[in-house]
Amino acid sequence: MTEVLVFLGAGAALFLLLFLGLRRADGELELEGPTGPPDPSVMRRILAQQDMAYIASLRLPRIQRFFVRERSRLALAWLRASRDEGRRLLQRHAEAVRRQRDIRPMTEIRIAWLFASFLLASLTAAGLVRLCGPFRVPALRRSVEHLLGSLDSLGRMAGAPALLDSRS
Amino acid sequence: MSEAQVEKAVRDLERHTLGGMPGTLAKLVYLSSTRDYNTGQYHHEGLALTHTPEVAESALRRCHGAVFRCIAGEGLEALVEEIRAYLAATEEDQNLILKTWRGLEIYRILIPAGCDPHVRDLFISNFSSALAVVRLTMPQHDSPDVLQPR
Repeated sequence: MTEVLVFLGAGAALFLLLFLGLRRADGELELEGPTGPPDPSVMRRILAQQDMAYIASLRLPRIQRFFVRERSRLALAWLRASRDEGRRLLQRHAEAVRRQRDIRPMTEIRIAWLFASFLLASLTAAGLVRLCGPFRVPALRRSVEHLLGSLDSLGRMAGAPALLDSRS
Repeated sequence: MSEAQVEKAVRDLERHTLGGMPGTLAKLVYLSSTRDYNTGQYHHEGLALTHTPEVAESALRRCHGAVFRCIAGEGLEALVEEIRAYLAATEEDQNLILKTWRGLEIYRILIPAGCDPHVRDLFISNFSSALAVVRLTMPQHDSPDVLQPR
């Protein structure tokens, strides 16, 4: 009985994540067109510890606060763009699947799982940035690396190898 | 217009016009100033005479992109040093330059067209932070208000 409840709970959580992931927030304006997958090297530079170490060495608290706020803003924007890219890949895949006759349920479940895992990593990373800032938590770097791995896998499974090649 | 012609013009530009400039930021400021604000096209009389206007335009565009990538790829400390070197080489009042750059956000026009939006935002943010650092670490700065609300 407990196992069934855990299974149902996990399934409900997965569907909730998928639902949240596929809808854009109301009133969210998209001023720029789709720009492709966000460049991972930019995120690595946003989280660069040497910039933070330099700012900290200056002992200028106002500058430090401003700098951390700015890097948080940039990290959150990058994470939002990566979620948009994940959504775009999944929507493109869903459109392709609708035209197919030979649907493989296990593959679709794996893609749904990958997307949920990707969303979870992205939302965890965003939460860590909001709570602790972009420099304090080593888990944030791991979360971002996991996010990039999930986006790669999602792109491959959803049939977008060209897009992923362009990121490397 | 061939690739070889553009490469030749790029080398010409790097050797003569850009070669004597003090630092990468000076080159970036110069190259972005050769771009027409309305059309986004680059113009350089001398280069256009030696080569052709089209080749000169391509060479300037390519150099602008390369110099921007170089500066945008630097860490914050290196950017602060670039700004200090640029200020040291100019004969204008350094405080006035900093105030103008900060007030008018001149650094936005240094960005080449078609730049990745995340790279652009990081560059703008870094430049804003670097200007604040330079201003606050100058021997005398006339205003404590060095940070702009975004």
